[in-house]
Amino acid sequence: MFTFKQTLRDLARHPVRTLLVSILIAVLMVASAGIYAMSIDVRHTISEIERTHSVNAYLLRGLDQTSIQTLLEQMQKNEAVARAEYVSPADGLKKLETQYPQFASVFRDLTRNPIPPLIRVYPVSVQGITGLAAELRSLAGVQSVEYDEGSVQGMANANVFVHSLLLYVLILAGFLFVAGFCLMAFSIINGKRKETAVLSVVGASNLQVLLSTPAHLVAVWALASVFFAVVFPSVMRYSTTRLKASFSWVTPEPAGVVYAGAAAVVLLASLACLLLACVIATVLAYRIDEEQRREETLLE
Amino acid sequence: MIQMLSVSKRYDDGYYGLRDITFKVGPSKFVFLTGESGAGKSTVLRLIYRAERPTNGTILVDGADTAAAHGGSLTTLRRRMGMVFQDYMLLFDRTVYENVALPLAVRGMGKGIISQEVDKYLDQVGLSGYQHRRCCSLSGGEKQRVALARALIAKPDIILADEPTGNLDLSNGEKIVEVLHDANRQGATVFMATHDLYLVQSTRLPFVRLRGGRKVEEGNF
Repeated sequence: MFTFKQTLRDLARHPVRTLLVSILIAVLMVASAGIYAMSIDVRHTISEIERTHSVNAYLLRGLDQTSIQTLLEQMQKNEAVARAEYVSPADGLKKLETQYPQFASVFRDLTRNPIPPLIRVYPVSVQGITGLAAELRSLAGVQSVEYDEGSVQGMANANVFVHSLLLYVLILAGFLFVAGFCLMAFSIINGKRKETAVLSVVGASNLQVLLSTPAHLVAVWALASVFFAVVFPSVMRYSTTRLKASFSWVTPEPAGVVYAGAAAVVLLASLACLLLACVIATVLAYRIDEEQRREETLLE
Repeated sequence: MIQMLSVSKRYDDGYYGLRDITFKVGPSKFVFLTGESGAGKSTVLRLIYRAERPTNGTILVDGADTAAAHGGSLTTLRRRMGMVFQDYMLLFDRTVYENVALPLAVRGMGKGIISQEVDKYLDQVGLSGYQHRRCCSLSGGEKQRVALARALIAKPDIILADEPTGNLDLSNGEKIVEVLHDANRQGATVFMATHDLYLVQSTRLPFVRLRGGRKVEEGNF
């Protein structure tokens, strides 16, 4: 009870210091969780963009409906294929007319439909698109296979770059988080060293002496976690809105799950750091109590 | 009663802080521990309140070996003692009230009793009305009187004072010694380290004199 009251008084005694330290820890937590959640969002967005790439498999003219259906099912069963759809010559011409209304008279004057039947194949990932195209080309009934090679290559390069960048940022955020948290913890431990020594001199019990600093650390962490819980959802809401505004066609992953996951990871990491700091604080307090009183009290 | 029996203290670097010290401080006595700087006065006090253990010999406080004190028994031992230091050992970011109340707060005493006792002991050391002053804003003499009130408030059987007048002028030093005399008159054993031989001579109280970690004299002026 004494330790609990003392900790609350300590926090209230230096409100600005307490708030600054808690806010700083909360900022580290929000930044790390935000970057983690953002990396998930970006990865998801990239995979959504990848899904818009397609391979056109042009079929031989005169192929009957049963053969087309068999080919379509064969393609859909392929693990590298996300989905496949059949575009009949009539549908193809209709799309052309919609896309190029200025050539309506040309389309009207056509004596026969020049559009070949095709199956549009959407790959799971652009990485394996070359192999998929070769596979499709080898199928009986497929006349030719076409896809935008330049765009696919550009997408693949961008994908590798973004993933590397995110990994570096994530590692940096993790390092900053651990370093920042430990720095805060050590400044608290250092600030409490004299109090620890005084407590043992005035007859505090071992538990009171040993728990004094860890209790303070836990209180600051709890305060930081409250700030984190308040600020993090707002930051995430803002970033989600921005993401949706930029990539309106992207189907977002369940935001709650992603952000709760990011928050849980960061909270667990901060708990691990807190535990480490508490152990160090307790060991230091024990050493002060046992042998280092000479340096800590009389000769300080 | 405090007894030191053939006590030596050797540090890790091989330096002997104390060599073969034997003396006794009887119950309810006021005894000075005197000697020049580096004579080993602080080491003796540290050994008594078990901040350190002796390398050789035995230290008994009312018959109990302090070296064996650990955990709960160490807390009990320290709760029987009040300590005063030359550098005050106060928490300067706290008020006078909070510093003086600390020994009672760690013992789990109620707010009402603490408040009453703090007022009483601050009055005894001449600091009535200082409750809400921060310790960092006090003069050296005032700080030492706060430290003294903190040492006395839990009514310890033994008061160990390590150069409590070392940083003070004559007038403030006399006030501190007077308060310690009052505590002694009320039954506390006072063991005070000082390098001020004039103070020891003027009081005509028993003393133990150290030089270079050895006891060189014991008696009364």
